[in-house]
Amino acid sequence: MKRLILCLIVAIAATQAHAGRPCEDRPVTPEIANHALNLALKTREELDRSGASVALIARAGQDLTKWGLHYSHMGLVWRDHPKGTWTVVHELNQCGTATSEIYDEGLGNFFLDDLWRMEAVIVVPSPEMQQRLTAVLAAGKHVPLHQSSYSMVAYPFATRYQNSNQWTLEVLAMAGARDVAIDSREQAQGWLKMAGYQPTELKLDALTRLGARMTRANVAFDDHPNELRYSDRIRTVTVDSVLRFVERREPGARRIEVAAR
Amino acid sequence: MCAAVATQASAQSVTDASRASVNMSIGVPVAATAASAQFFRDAGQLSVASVQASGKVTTVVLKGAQSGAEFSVQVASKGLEGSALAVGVTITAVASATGHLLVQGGKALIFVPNEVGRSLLHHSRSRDV
Repeated sequence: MKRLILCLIVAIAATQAHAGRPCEDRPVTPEIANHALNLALKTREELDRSGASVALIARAGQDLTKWGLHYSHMGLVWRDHPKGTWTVVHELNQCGTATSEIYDEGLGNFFLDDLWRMEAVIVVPSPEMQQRLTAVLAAGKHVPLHQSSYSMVAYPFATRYQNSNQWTLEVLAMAGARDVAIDSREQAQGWLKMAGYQPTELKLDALTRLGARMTRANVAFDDHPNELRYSDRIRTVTVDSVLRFVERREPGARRIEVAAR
Repeated sequence: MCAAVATQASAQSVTDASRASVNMSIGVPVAATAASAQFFRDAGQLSVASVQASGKVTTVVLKGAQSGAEFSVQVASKGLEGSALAVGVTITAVASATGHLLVQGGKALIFVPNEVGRSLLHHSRSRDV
């Protein structure tokens, strides 16, 4: 029983880790919790209905509309995960610090953690890609692709930092590379370049960069090439750019949008 | 579901896990035990029969006025700090697809997940297999 209690209590601790925002002491109201759990339930129903064994999943955790972006955070959701059916595997920044960790979480935790809009998107890759992704996850190969030094705006083709969407993208590269074995972030990024991945480019002037660097431990720019950085062009991995990449490479991938009831 | 936590627990991480528990909140504490919808259906009005804190975990026993049945829920003690939960207090259970919200005087006190709700809530590091 003690273990059971600890299980539940630790399960709810997901609210302590966020994909790129501080752990504010901001209670989630019961209404929001209810909406988030309903979204989790509806998402699970959609996943069941899709017939997929693994999919990409993203949430809208922050208002990124000023950047022209809709979803903020992405991971993988695996039906036959040993820790529970439809478990989300994703990178989480630790409460606005400069580090991250890879977590396995229930869908409820995924949505309770961080929501701006009660919406999610699922992308079901081709059956072959699902098989390859499942093999990567089952073998635990996704964990060594993690870099604990976190920057919300990590450069997509450098390994000093990693943001949560970048980890997901690099796992996709590991699974998607058919002609070469990928065992490292460098190899994954090399493959992504070759495969034509296009990051999102944000316009961030020097003052904004300085302000962010000084006030946020989880934002860094020193991994970006000087010629881009000093012309205020910050390229990074966003959900929208990953979705574009996946859908371009796999025309058969299915996108399912889910909103809370 | 909880293999990793159980492993941590047996490896002297109990205190760490407990400490984590008292720092967390989803706006309302979540009961560690799942209750059947039948209990709430039969119970009618609920009242608090007992509240017992033991370290970081508090056990609350609820009693159904109609059925006379009792059901105990366990939550992190910190989650109940400042709440109106006390012996004799009348509670209303508001049903949802994922469980029941225990409400008193318009204020949510505890979320009791059903099996569906519980299956949606777990959390561990990927390296903790």
